[in-house]
Amino acid sequence: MNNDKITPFQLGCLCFAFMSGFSTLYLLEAKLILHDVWIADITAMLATIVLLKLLVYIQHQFPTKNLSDIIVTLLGKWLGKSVLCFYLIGMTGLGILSLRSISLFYTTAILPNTSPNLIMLLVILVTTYAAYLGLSTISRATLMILPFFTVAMLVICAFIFQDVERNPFLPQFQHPVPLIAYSALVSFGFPFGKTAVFCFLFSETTNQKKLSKSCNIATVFSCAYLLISTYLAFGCLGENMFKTSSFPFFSAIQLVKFGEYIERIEIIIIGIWTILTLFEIIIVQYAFVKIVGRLFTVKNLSSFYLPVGAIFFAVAATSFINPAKLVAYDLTILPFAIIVPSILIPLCLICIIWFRKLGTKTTT
Amino acid sequence: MRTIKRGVLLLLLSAMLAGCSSDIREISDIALVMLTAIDYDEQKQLYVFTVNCLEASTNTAGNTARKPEWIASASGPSVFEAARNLRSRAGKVLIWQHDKFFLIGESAARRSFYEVVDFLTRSRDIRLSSFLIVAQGNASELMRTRAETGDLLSNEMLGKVKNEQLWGKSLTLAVKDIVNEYTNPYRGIVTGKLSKAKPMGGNREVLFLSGGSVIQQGRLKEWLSGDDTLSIHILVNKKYWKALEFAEYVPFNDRRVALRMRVGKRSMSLVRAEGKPGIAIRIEMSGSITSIDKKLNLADPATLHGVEEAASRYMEQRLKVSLNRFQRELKSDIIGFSDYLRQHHPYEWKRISKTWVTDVYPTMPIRVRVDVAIPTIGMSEVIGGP
Repeated sequence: MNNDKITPFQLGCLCFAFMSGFSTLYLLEAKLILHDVWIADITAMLATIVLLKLLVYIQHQFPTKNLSDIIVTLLGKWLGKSVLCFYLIGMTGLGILSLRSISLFYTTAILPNTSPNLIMLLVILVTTYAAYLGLSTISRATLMILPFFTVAMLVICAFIFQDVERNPFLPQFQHPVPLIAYSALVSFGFPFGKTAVFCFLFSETTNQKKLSKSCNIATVFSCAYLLISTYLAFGCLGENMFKTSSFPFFSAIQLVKFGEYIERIEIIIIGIWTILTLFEIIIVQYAFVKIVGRLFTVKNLSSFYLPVGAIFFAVAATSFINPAKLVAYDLTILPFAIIVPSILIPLCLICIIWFRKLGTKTTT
Repeated sequence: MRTIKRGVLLLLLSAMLAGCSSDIREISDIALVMLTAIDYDEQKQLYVFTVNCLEASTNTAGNTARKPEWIASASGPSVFEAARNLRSRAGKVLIWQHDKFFLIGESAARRSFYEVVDFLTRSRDIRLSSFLIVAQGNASELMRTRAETGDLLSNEMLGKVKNEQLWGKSLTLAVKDIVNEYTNPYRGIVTGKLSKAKPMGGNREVLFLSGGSVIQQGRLKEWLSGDDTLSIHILVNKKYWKALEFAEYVPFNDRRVALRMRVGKRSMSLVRAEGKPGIAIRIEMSGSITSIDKKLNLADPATLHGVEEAASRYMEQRLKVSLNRFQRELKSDIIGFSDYLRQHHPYEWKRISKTWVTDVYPTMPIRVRVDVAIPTIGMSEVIGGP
């Protein structure tokens, strides 16, 4: 197990992989407001950047401590641990969402006769081992896979672009503001809001002054990737087909062919997509174990990874069996459920820090 | 070193895991469906599903002659059940992943496209880039017609679709485009029309991919002539005209000039005429002269300009006739003006969308302006000198 710290650049790459894992699989916010989706995505991205600023500010106040330690320090032992338990529930939700999404995609598009539980079991075995290896190893793996991802995506996107006839984001500003705001919330819930998990890794970077910069760049790139994918899928498939398709970007990729006979190149993208989704689950599992360690004040966490993986698998095997429920969760519960851990708790922590500073100043 | 060896051994062993999947299909056990025909039997109220298959292990140029295509039909109350009933006769597992053509029989197309198209999009095996063609009459019967060239029928069909860009009088859409447009209540779409006839000098009937089939409100509405289909090629999206080449025989004074035409640019704008919204279309074309029926000095710039003008007016007239037919006779927006208005003039569209089908589209003024340039006159100037 490797406990080395990672550089801000590695953190940024991890952050991108974490956010972009399967962010382009459903494109639910785009199905909601179609042409105005860019407004929702950019709003969610800006909100994430503000959120990251707050989280980095909190981290800078306690440079040597992990966010779980900071929460316990600021909120007290019992309230702090309760908040950490709340984070654990949220992370379980994120992990299960990823597991279920990857198994749903595989059983729908590639392996219809394979059991989703088997797919999830294989995924969880891989992610558990990866989380056990430590953050440094995970980030090195990310650095290796991202160039392949970038090149493959650029080639595929260039080919899809040939099929885009008209600007799919026209006409603009045709949806009511509340619907755009709701879509921004959906976009914030998935994929941007889960960045809150990332703040548990801030203490494990070498140069904390560059935290904000690396995470912001990763967020902007994730947003660009999401917008490009939406634009291409929407433009290539057309409005009605886009709404009809379960996995619109994948459907658009399926249409790519080199020449007349070289088809089925989507398999390359599926591979890369899967690996990015694995990173997402790995990071959630890693942060989960860190929090568990803080809750029980345990130093050696190596024996926790397998039980945590087993919990993730057990919950995933019994949740969202109906795919419609998965989409409904993404659309109706996640956008609101993410508000507390991603917005309200960081705001509370900031307020406490300010009040403490104010109290210290008054005393002196 | 020991760890690396163990790792490599583990990787090699993991490659064998692929055989554990229940999704594995051996190549010798499968038959590739190359064409699918879907008909509807009105009397029995059953779908008739016909496939044209090749054994995967014989799908090479050398072997195809030895083992012919296998064509079989089965019926069922739903498309899926009809397809599954085929299994009672199939000696192999049928695989649709290489099927490029879906022929929809006239009866099924006139009834409803919904179930057929839904089946095609829901199945993971079927590619959205496959072509959907409406057969004049019974699709199953057309599929059983022997290919004129002696090649596989699917290969011949693919050649016909590719050749559409070289004459323009046929237009075949992919399943993806059909799904995207066919439920749109404001417009119609045109896809390929497959028919059977005796060719000139031939003694047996062969397949023709010519003209188009108009689909509106989710069902086949009308057949379209080759000339009108060419107009659609020119007027609809760039992807249909960017590689299009077609022949025109333009009258000029008392002569006729044959041209090979290409579309260079097409733009559309909203105009107002007599208080009504209208559409102005501007098309830039280029032509090259392929033959003249009488002597004409094309080396003379004034004459060449005259031919350009004549070709422009001729093309304008040709397109106007087609547009007039689409508006007045078909009453179907198969060009997609409604899409243009909705995208670029959303407020105007909101105002007129309710009456678009009944009032606005059939009476909407449409102006067409064509500019033909002839940048090349070929390898000869005037036979016999100017």
